[in-house]
Amino acid sequence: MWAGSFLAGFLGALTGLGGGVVIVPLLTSVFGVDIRYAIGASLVSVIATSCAAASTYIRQGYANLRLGMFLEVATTIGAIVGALLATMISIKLLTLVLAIVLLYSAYLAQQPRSEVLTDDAEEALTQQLQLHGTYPTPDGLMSYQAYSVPLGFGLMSIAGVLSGLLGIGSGALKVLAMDQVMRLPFKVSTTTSSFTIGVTAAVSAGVYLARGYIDPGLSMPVMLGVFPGAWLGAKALMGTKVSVLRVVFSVVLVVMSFKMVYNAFGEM
Amino acid sequence: MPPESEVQIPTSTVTAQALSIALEHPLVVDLSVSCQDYAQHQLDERSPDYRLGIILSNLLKYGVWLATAIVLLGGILYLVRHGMEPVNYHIFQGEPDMFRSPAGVIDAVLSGRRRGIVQLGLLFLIATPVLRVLVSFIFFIKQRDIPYVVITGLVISGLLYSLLGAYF
Repeated sequence: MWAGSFLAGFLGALTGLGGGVVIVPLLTSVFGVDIRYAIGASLVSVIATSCAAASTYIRQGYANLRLGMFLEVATTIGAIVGALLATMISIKLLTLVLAIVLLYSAYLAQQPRSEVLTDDAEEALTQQLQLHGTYPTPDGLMSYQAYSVPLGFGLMSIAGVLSGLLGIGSGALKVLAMDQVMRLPFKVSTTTSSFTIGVTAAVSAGVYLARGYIDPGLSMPVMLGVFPGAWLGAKALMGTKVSVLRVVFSVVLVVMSFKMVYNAFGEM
Repeated sequence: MPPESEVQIPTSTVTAQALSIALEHPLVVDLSVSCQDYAQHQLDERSPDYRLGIILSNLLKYGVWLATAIVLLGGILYLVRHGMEPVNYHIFQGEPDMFRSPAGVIDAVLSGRRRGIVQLGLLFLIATPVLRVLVSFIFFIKQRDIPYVVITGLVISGLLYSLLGAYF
Protein backbone atom coordinates (compact mmCIF):
# COMPACT_ATOMS: atom_id res chain seq x y z
CA MET A 1 0.00 0.00 0.00
CA TRP A 2 2.91 2.30 0.78
CA ALA A 3 4.47 1.66 -2.64
CA GLY A 4 1.15 2.28 -4.36
CA SER A 5 0.74 5.56 -2.48
CA PHE A 6 4.28 6.58 -3.38
CA LEU A 7 3.46 5.96 -7.04
CA ALA A 8 0.19 7.87 -6.66
CA GLY A 9 1.99 10.88 -5.22
CA PHE A 10 4.62 10.77 -7.92
CA LEU A 11 2.13 10.53 -10.79
CA GLY A 12 -0.27 12.96 -9.16
CA ALA A 13 2.34 15.66 -8.76
CA LEU A 14 3.79 15.19 -12.23
CA THR A 15 0.51 15.21 -14.13
CA GLY A 16 -1.44 17.66 -11.99
CA LEU A 17 -4.14 15.03 -11.57
CA GLY A 18 -3.68 14.53 -7.83
CA GLY A 19 -2.98 11.17 -6.26
CA GLY A 20 -6.65 10.29 -5.73
CA VAL A 21 -7.21 9.04 -9.23
CA VAL A 22 -4.77 6.21 -8.42
CA ILE A 23 -5.55 5.79 -4.70
CA VAL A 24 -9.31 5.17 -4.94
CA PRO A 25 -9.07 2.32 -7.49
CA LEU A 26 -6.01 0.93 -5.71
CA LEU A 27 -7.78 0.68 -2.36
CA THR A 28 -11.13 -0.50 -3.68
CA SER A 29 -10.09 -2.95 -6.39
CA VAL A 30 -6.73 -4.24 -5.09
CA PHE A 31 -7.31 -4.10 -1.31
CA GLY A 32 -11.09 -4.43 -1.31
CA VAL A 33 -11.63 -1.37 0.89
CA ASP A 34 -15.13 0.17 1.05
CA ILE A 35 -15.27 3.07 -1.40
CA ARG A 36 -16.17 5.55 1.36
CA TYR A 37 -12.99 4.76 3.30
CA ALA A 38 -11.10 4.87 0.00
CA ILE A 39 -12.47 8.33 -0.78
CA GLY A 40 -11.46 9.58 2.67
CA ALA A 41 -7.92 8.24 2.26
CA SER A 42 -7.63 9.62 -1.25
CA LEU A 43 -8.62 13.12 -0.12
CA VAL A 44 -5.75 12.96 2.32
CA SER A 45 -3.44 11.90 -0.49
CA VAL A 46 -4.64 14.69 -2.77
CA ILE A 47 -4.00 17.37 -0.14
CA ALA A 48 -0.53 15.98 0.60
CA THR A 49 0.30 15.80 -3.13
CA SER A 50 -0.96 19.31 -3.72
CA CYS A 51 0.93 20.90 -0.82
CA ALA A 52 4.21 19.13 -1.53
CA ALA A 53 4.11 19.69 -5.30
CA ALA A 54 2.71 23.23 -5.28
CA SER A 55 5.43 24.37 -2.89
CA THR A 56 8.02 23.41 -5.52
CA TYR A 57 6.02 24.65 -8.52
CA ILE A 58 5.49 28.11 -7.01
CA ARG A 59 9.21 28.43 -6.39
CA GLN A 60 10.05 27.31 -9.92
CA GLY A 61 7.64 29.88 -11.35
CA TYR A 62 5.31 27.46 -13.14
CA ALA A 63 2.11 27.70 -11.10
CA ASN A 64 0.03 30.86 -11.57
CA LEU A 65 -1.15 31.99 -8.12
CA ARG A 66 -3.82 34.44 -9.25
CA LEU A 67 -5.28 32.06 -11.79
CA GLY A 68 -5.28 29.28 -9.21
CA MET A 69 -7.08 31.39 -6.62
CA PHE A 70 -9.66 32.63 -9.10
CA LEU A 71 -10.47 29.10 -10.23
CA GLU A 72 -10.63 27.92 -6.62
CA VAL A 73 -13.87 29.87 -6.26
CA ALA A 74 -15.46 27.58 -8.86
CA THR A 75 -13.95 24.38 -7.50
CA THR A 76 -14.73 25.20 -3.86
CA ILE A 77 -18.42 25.79 -4.49
CA GLY A 78 -18.54 22.76 -6.77
CA ALA A 79 -16.88 20.58 -4.14
CA ILE A 80 -19.45 21.56 -1.49
CA VAL A 81 -22.28 20.63 -3.85
CA GLY A 82 -20.55 17.36 -4.74
CA ALA A 83 -19.88 16.36 -1.15
CA LEU A 84 -23.51 17.02 -0.21
CA LEU A 85 -24.72 14.90 -3.13
CA ALA A 86 -22.39 12.03 -2.30
CA THR A 87 -24.40 10.75 0.66
CA MET A 88 -27.61 10.73 -1.37
CA ILE A 89 -26.21 8.64 -4.18
CA SER A 90 -25.92 4.86 -4.18
CA ILE A 91 -22.48 3.29 -4.05
CA LYS A 92 -22.99 1.44 -7.32
CA LEU A 93 -23.91 4.61 -9.13
CA LEU A 94 -20.94 6.35 -7.53
CA THR A 95 -18.63 3.57 -8.72
CA LEU A 96 -20.04 3.79 -12.22
CA VAL A 97 -19.57 7.56 -12.32
CA LEU A 98 -16.01 7.14 -11.11
CA ALA A 99 -15.30 4.54 -13.79
CA ILE A 100 -16.63 6.86 -16.49
CA VAL A 101 -14.53 9.73 -15.14
CA LEU A 102 -11.44 7.50 -15.19
CA LEU A 103 -12.09 6.43 -18.78
CA TYR A 104 -12.66 10.02 -19.81
CA SER A 105 -9.47 11.06 -18.00
CA ALA A 106 -7.59 8.37 -19.90
CA TYR A 107 -8.98 9.66 -23.17
CA LEU A 108 -8.11 13.26 -22.30
CA ALA A 109 -4.55 12.33 -21.39
CA GLN A 110 -4.03 11.21 -24.99
CA GLN A 111 -5.32 14.40 -26.57
CA PRO A 112 -2.59 16.46 -28.20
CA ARG A 113 -2.32 19.95 -26.81
CA SER A 114 -0.98 22.89 -28.72
CA GLU A 115 1.71 24.95 -27.11
CA VAL A 116 1.34 27.82 -29.59
CA LEU A 117 1.38 31.26 -28.12
CA THR A 118 -0.65 33.83 -29.98
CA ASP A 119 -0.45 37.56 -29.66
CA ASP A 120 -4.15 38.38 -29.51
CA ALA A 121 -5.27 41.32 -27.47
CA GLU A 122 -6.10 40.56 -23.86
CA GLU A 123 -9.73 39.91 -23.03
CA ALA A 124 -11.26 42.39 -20.61
CA LEU A 125 -11.78 39.86 -17.83
CA THR A 126 -8.25 38.52 -18.20
CA GLN A 127 -6.90 42.02 -17.86
CA GLN A 128 -9.08 42.89 -14.91
CA LEU A 129 -8.10 39.79 -12.97
CA GLN A 130 -4.48 39.87 -14.13
CA LEU A 131 -4.70 36.30 -15.42
CA HIS A 132 -1.48 36.42 -17.33
CA GLY A 133 2.05 35.62 -16.40
CA THR A 134 5.35 34.17 -17.42
CA TYR A 135 6.80 30.71 -17.08
CA PRO A 136 10.32 29.35 -17.46
CA THR A 137 11.32 27.80 -20.77
CA PRO A 138 14.75 27.05 -22.25
CA ASP A 139 14.54 30.38 -24.11
CA GLY A 140 13.96 32.33 -20.93
CA LEU A 141 10.67 33.50 -19.52
CA MET A 142 7.72 33.05 -21.84
CA SER A 143 4.63 35.14 -21.32
CA TYR A 144 1.11 33.83 -21.66
CA GLN A 145 -2.46 34.85 -20.90
CA ALA A 146 -5.77 33.18 -20.22
CA TYR A 147 -8.59 33.08 -22.79
CA SER A 148 -12.29 32.16 -22.48
CA VAL A 149 -12.24 32.75 -18.74
CA PRO A 150 -16.02 32.26 -18.13
CA LEU A 151 -16.06 28.90 -19.95
CA GLY A 152 -12.97 27.75 -18.07
CA PHE A 153 -14.61 28.84 -14.83
CA GLY A 154 -17.72 26.79 -15.66
CA LEU A 155 -15.71 23.67 -16.42
CA MET A 156 -13.87 24.18 -13.13
CA SER A 157 -17.20 24.14 -11.27
CA ILE A 158 -17.98 20.74 -12.78
CA ALA A 159 -14.51 19.55 -11.79
CA GLY A 160 -15.26 20.72 -8.26
CA VAL A 161 -18.56 18.80 -8.10
CA LEU A 162 -16.81 15.64 -9.30
CA SER A 163 -14.03 15.96 -6.77
CA GLY A 164 -16.54 16.43 -3.95
CA LEU A 165 -18.56 13.50 -5.24
CA LEU A 166 -15.76 11.06 -5.86
CA GLY A 167 -12.86 12.16 -3.70
CA ILE A 168 -10.58 12.45 -6.69
CA GLY A 169 -8.93 15.75 -7.47
CA SER A 170 -10.57 15.54 -10.88
CA GLY A 171 -7.37 17.15 -12.07
CA ALA A 172 -8.03 15.88 -15.57
CA LEU A 173 -10.97 18.25 -15.98
CA LYS A 174 -9.01 21.11 -14.46
CA VAL A 175 -6.05 20.56 -16.73
CA LEU A 176 -8.48 20.32 -19.65
CA ALA A 177 -10.15 23.59 -18.68
CA MET A 178 -6.88 25.46 -18.40
CA ASP A 179 -5.06 23.83 -21.28
CA GLN A 180 -7.75 23.41 -23.94
CA VAL A 181 -10.26 26.14 -23.07
CA MET A 182 -8.13 28.86 -21.50
CA ARG A 183 -5.21 28.00 -23.80
CA LEU A 184 -2.49 28.12 -21.19
CA PRO A 185 0.86 26.35 -21.61
CA PHE A 186 0.67 22.69 -20.57
CA LYS A 187 3.08 22.94 -17.67
CA VAL A 188 1.29 26.00 -16.32
CA SER A 189 -1.99 24.06 -16.48
CA THR A 190 -0.72 20.98 -14.65
CA THR A 191 1.16 22.89 -11.96
CA THR A 192 -1.68 25.34 -11.33
CA SER A 193 -3.99 22.32 -11.12
CA SER A 194 -1.68 20.84 -8.48
CA PHE A 195 -1.86 24.13 -6.63
CA THR A 196 -5.68 24.31 -6.59
CA ILE A 197 -6.64 20.68 -5.90
CA GLY A 198 -5.43 20.99 -2.29
CA VAL A 199 -8.10 23.55 -1.46
CA THR A 200 -10.83 21.65 -3.30
CA ALA A 201 -9.89 18.48 -1.44
CA ALA A 202 -9.79 20.34 1.90
CA VAL A 203 -13.40 21.41 1.36
CA SER A 204 -14.49 17.82 0.83
CA ALA A 205 -12.21 16.52 3.57
CA GLY A 206 -14.00 18.69 6.14
CA VAL A 207 -17.35 17.16 5.20
CA TYR A 208 -16.02 13.60 5.04
CA LEU A 209 -14.21 13.92 8.35
CA ALA A 210 -17.50 14.79 10.00
CA ARG A 211 -19.15 11.78 8.38
CA GLY A 212 -16.46 9.42 9.63
CA TYR A 213 -14.94 8.55 6.23
CA ILE A 214 -11.38 9.46 7.17
CA ASP A 215 -9.73 6.58 9.01
CA PRO A 216 -6.35 7.14 10.69
CA GLY A 217 -5.17 3.56 10.17
CA LEU A 218 -5.86 3.70 6.45
CA SER A 219 -4.78 7.28 5.84
CA MET A 220 -1.43 6.87 7.57
CA PRO A 221 0.32 4.56 5.05
CA VAL A 222 -1.32 6.46 2.20
CA MET A 223 -0.05 9.82 3.38
CA LEU A 224 3.44 8.59 4.23
CA GLY A 225 3.70 7.09 0.74
CA VAL A 226 2.21 10.00 -1.18
CA PHE A 227 4.34 12.67 0.44
CA PRO A 228 7.83 11.54 -0.73
CA GLY A 229 6.29 10.49 -4.07
CA ALA A 230 4.92 13.97 -4.64
CA TRP A 231 8.23 15.64 -3.78
CA LEU A 232 10.03 13.42 -6.26
CA GLY A 233 7.36 13.96 -8.91
CA ALA A 234 7.57 17.73 -8.55
CA LYS A 235 11.35 17.66 -8.80
CA ALA A 236 11.11 15.44 -11.88
CA LEU A 237 8.68 17.67 -13.79
CA MET A 238 11.38 19.23 -15.95
CA GLY A 239 13.21 16.01 -16.72
CA THR A 240 10.53 13.40 -17.40
CA LYS A 241 9.18 12.34 -20.75
CA VAL A 242 5.55 13.21 -20.21
CA SER A 243 4.52 11.51 -23.45
CA VAL A 244 5.57 8.09 -22.12
CA LEU A 245 4.04 8.81 -18.73
CA ARG A 246 0.72 9.81 -20.29
CA VAL A 247 0.39 6.51 -22.11
CA VAL A 248 1.18 4.47 -18.98
CA PHE A 249 -1.19 6.60 -16.93
CA SER A 250 -4.05 6.19 -19.41
CA VAL A 251 -3.59 2.42 -19.56
CA VAL A 252 -3.65 2.20 -15.76
CA LEU A 253 -6.83 4.27 -15.61
CA VAL A 254 -8.62 2.16 -18.21
CA VAL A 255 -7.67 -1.11 -16.47
CA MET A 256 -8.66 0.22 -13.04
CA SER A 257 -12.01 1.57 -14.19
CA PHE A 258 -13.02 -1.73 -15.80
CA LYS A 259 -11.99 -3.57 -12.65
CA MET A 260 -14.11 -1.25 -10.52
CA VAL A 261 -17.19 -1.73 -12.66
CA TYR A 262 -16.63 -5.48 -12.53
CA ASN A 263 -16.35 -5.40 -8.72
CA ALA A 264 -19.52 -3.38 -8.32
CA PHE A 265 -21.71 -5.12 -10.87
CA GLY A 266 -19.99 -8.47 -11.36
CA GLU A 267 -21.90 -10.26 -8.63
CA MET A 268 -25.30 -9.29 -10.01
CA MET B 1 18.71 19.08 -29.56
CA PRO B 2 18.99 15.94 -27.43
CA PRO B 3 20.72 12.77 -28.62
CA GLU B 4 17.52 11.18 -30.01
CA SER B 5 17.63 13.47 -33.01
CA GLU B 6 20.90 11.88 -34.12
CA VAL B 7 19.50 8.36 -34.03
CA GLN B 8 19.27 7.22 -37.63
CA ILE B 9 18.38 3.77 -38.93
CA PRO B 10 20.17 3.52 -42.28
CA THR B 11 18.65 0.16 -43.25
CA SER B 12 15.12 1.44 -43.05
CA THR B 13 14.54 4.85 -44.53
CA VAL B 14 10.86 4.58 -43.77
CA THR B 15 11.52 4.28 -40.04
CA ALA B 16 14.02 7.10 -40.12
CA GLN B 17 11.56 9.29 -41.95
CA ALA B 18 8.79 8.50 -39.51
CA LEU B 19 11.16 9.19 -36.64
CA SER B 20 12.23 12.55 -38.01
CA ILE B 21 8.61 13.56 -38.53
CA ALA B 22 7.78 12.45 -35.02
CA LEU B 23 10.73 14.32 -33.56
CA GLU B 24 9.70 17.53 -35.27
CA HIS B 25 6.26 17.33 -33.70
CA PRO B 26 5.89 20.42 -31.46
CA LEU B 27 5.01 18.25 -28.49
CA VAL B 28 8.14 16.13 -28.80
CA VAL B 29 10.35 19.17 -29.31
CA ASP B 30 8.83 20.75 -26.24
CA LEU B 31 9.34 17.59 -24.19
CA SER B 32 12.92 17.07 -25.32
CA VAL B 33 14.00 20.60 -24.53
CA SER B 34 12.29 20.25 -21.18
CA CYS B 35 14.84 17.56 -20.34
CA GLN B 36 17.66 20.09 -20.36
CA ASP B 37 18.54 22.06 -17.32
CA TYR B 38 17.91 25.66 -17.90
CA ALA B 39 19.52 28.56 -16.19
CA GLN B 40 17.76 29.91 -13.13
CA HIS B 41 15.26 32.35 -14.53
CA GLN B 42 15.18 35.92 -13.41
CA LEU B 43 12.15 37.00 -11.44
CA ASP B 44 11.46 40.46 -10.18
CA GLU B 45 12.15 39.90 -6.51
CA ARG B 46 10.48 43.09 -5.44
CA SER B 47 7.13 42.30 -7.08
CA PRO B 48 4.37 41.61 -4.54
CA ASP B 49 3.29 38.44 -6.37
CA TYR B 50 6.78 37.05 -6.08
CA ARG B 51 6.82 37.71 -2.34
CA LEU B 52 3.42 36.06 -1.96
CA GLY B 53 4.73 33.07 -3.89
CA ILE B 54 7.67 32.65 -1.53
CA ILE B 55 5.42 32.97 1.53
CA LEU B 56 2.93 30.40 0.22
CA SER B 57 5.64 28.03 -0.95
CA ASN B 58 7.20 27.99 2.51
CA LEU B 59 3.83 27.70 4.22
CA LEU B 60 2.87 24.65 2.15
CA LYS B 61 6.26 23.08 2.62
CA TYR B 62 6.42 23.38 6.40
CA GLY B 63 2.72 22.60 6.79
CA VAL B 64 2.96 19.28 4.98
CA TRP B 65 6.23 18.40 6.74
CA LEU B 66 4.70 19.04 10.15
CA ALA B 67 1.58 17.04 9.32
CA THR B 68 3.65 14.13 8.00
CA ALA B 69 5.88 14.14 11.09
CA ILE B 70 2.84 13.94 13.39
CA VAL B 71 1.23 11.18 11.31
CA LEU B 72 4.51 9.24 11.32
CA LEU B 73 4.89 9.58 15.08
CA GLY B 74 1.30 8.53 15.73
CA GLY B 75 1.62 5.73 13.22
CA ILE B 76 4.72 4.25 14.84
CA LEU B 77 3.14 4.42 18.31
CA TYR B 78 -0.05 2.86 16.97
CA LEU B 79 1.69 0.02 15.16
CA VAL B 80 3.85 -0.77 18.21
CA ARG B 81 0.70 -1.54 20.17
CA HIS B 82 -1.87 -2.61 17.60
CA GLY B 83 0.25 -3.76 14.64
CA MET B 84 -0.82 -7.41 14.93
CA GLU B 85 -4.55 -6.83 15.16
CA PRO B 86 -6.63 -7.66 12.10
CA VAL B 87 -8.32 -4.70 10.44
CA ASN B 88 -11.49 -4.72 8.39
CA TYR B 89 -12.07 -2.00 5.82
CA HIS B 90 -14.27 -4.10 3.56
CA ILE B 91 -17.36 -3.08 5.45
CA PHE B 92 -17.95 0.57 6.13
CA GLN B 93 -18.66 1.25 9.78
CA GLY B 94 -17.73 4.91 10.00
CA GLU B 95 -15.29 6.33 12.47
CA PRO B 96 -16.13 6.75 16.14
CA ASP B 97 -17.46 10.19 16.96
CA MET B 98 -14.22 11.17 18.61
CA PHE B 99 -12.38 11.05 15.25
CA ARG B 100 -14.99 13.10 13.44
CA SER B 101 -14.38 16.60 14.78
CA PRO B 102 -11.28 18.64 15.59
CA ALA B 103 -12.36 18.96 19.25
CA GLY B 104 -12.90 15.22 19.49
CA VAL B 105 -9.49 14.52 17.99
CA ILE B 106 -7.79 16.80 20.49
CA ASP B 107 -9.62 15.04 23.33
CA ALA B 108 -8.42 11.72 21.95
CA VAL B 109 -4.82 12.91 21.82
CA LEU B 110 -4.97 14.27 25.36
CA SER B 111 -6.37 11.00 26.65
CA GLY B 112 -3.39 9.24 25.10
CA ARG B 113 -5.08 7.53 22.14
CA ARG B 114 -2.51 6.76 19.48
CA ARG B 115 -4.90 6.82 16.54
CA GLY B 116 -5.80 10.30 17.77
CA ILE B 117 -2.25 11.47 17.05
CA VAL B 118 -2.51 10.23 13.47
CA GLN B 119 -5.85 11.98 13.10
CA LEU B 120 -4.32 15.18 14.51
CA GLY B 121 -1.65 15.03 11.80
CA LEU B 122 -4.39 14.67 9.20
CA LEU B 123 -6.12 17.74 10.66
CA PHE B 124 -2.87 19.70 10.27
CA LEU B 125 -2.73 18.51 6.68
CA ILE B 126 -6.29 19.67 5.96
CA ALA B 127 -5.52 22.98 7.67
CA THR B 128 -2.50 23.71 5.48
CA PRO B 129 -4.34 24.67 2.24
CA VAL B 130 -6.95 26.50 4.34
CA LEU B 131 -4.19 28.54 5.96
CA ARG B 132 -2.73 29.15 2.51
CA VAL B 133 -5.98 30.80 1.35
CA LEU B 134 -6.19 32.78 4.60
CA VAL B 135 -2.64 34.13 4.19
CA SER B 136 -3.40 35.11 0.57
CA PHE B 137 -6.57 36.86 1.74
CA ILE B 138 -4.62 38.96 4.27
CA PHE B 139 -1.93 39.63 1.69
CA PHE B 140 -4.45 40.97 -0.86
CA ILE B 141 -6.10 43.15 1.80
CA LYS B 142 -2.71 44.70 2.51
CA GLN B 143 -2.19 45.22 -1.22
CA ARG B 144 -5.69 46.74 -1.52
CA ASP B 145 -6.24 44.38 -4.44
CA ILE B 146 -10.05 44.44 -4.26
CA PRO B 147 -10.92 41.78 -6.90
CA TYR B 148 -8.66 39.27 -5.21
CA VAL B 149 -9.84 40.17 -1.72
CA VAL B 150 -13.32 39.21 -2.96
CA ILE B 151 -12.06 36.05 -4.69
CA THR B 152 -10.06 34.70 -1.75
CA GLY B 153 -12.88 35.81 0.58
CA LEU B 154 -15.34 33.65 -1.37
CA VAL B 155 -13.00 30.67 -1.17
CA ILE B 156 -12.60 31.16 2.59
CA SER B 157 -16.35 31.31 3.14
CA GLY B 158 -16.73 28.09 1.15
CA LEU B 159 -14.07 26.44 3.25
CA LEU B 160 -15.55 27.67 6.52
CA TYR B 161 -19.02 26.58 5.45
CA SER B 162 -17.89 23.04 4.80
CA LEU B 163 -15.45 22.73 7.71
CA LEU B 164 -17.73 24.24 10.35
CA GLY B 165 -21.13 23.63 8.77
CA ALA B 166 -20.64 19.89 9.09
CA TYR B 167 -20.92 20.17 12.87
CA PHE B 168 -23.93 22.44 13.27
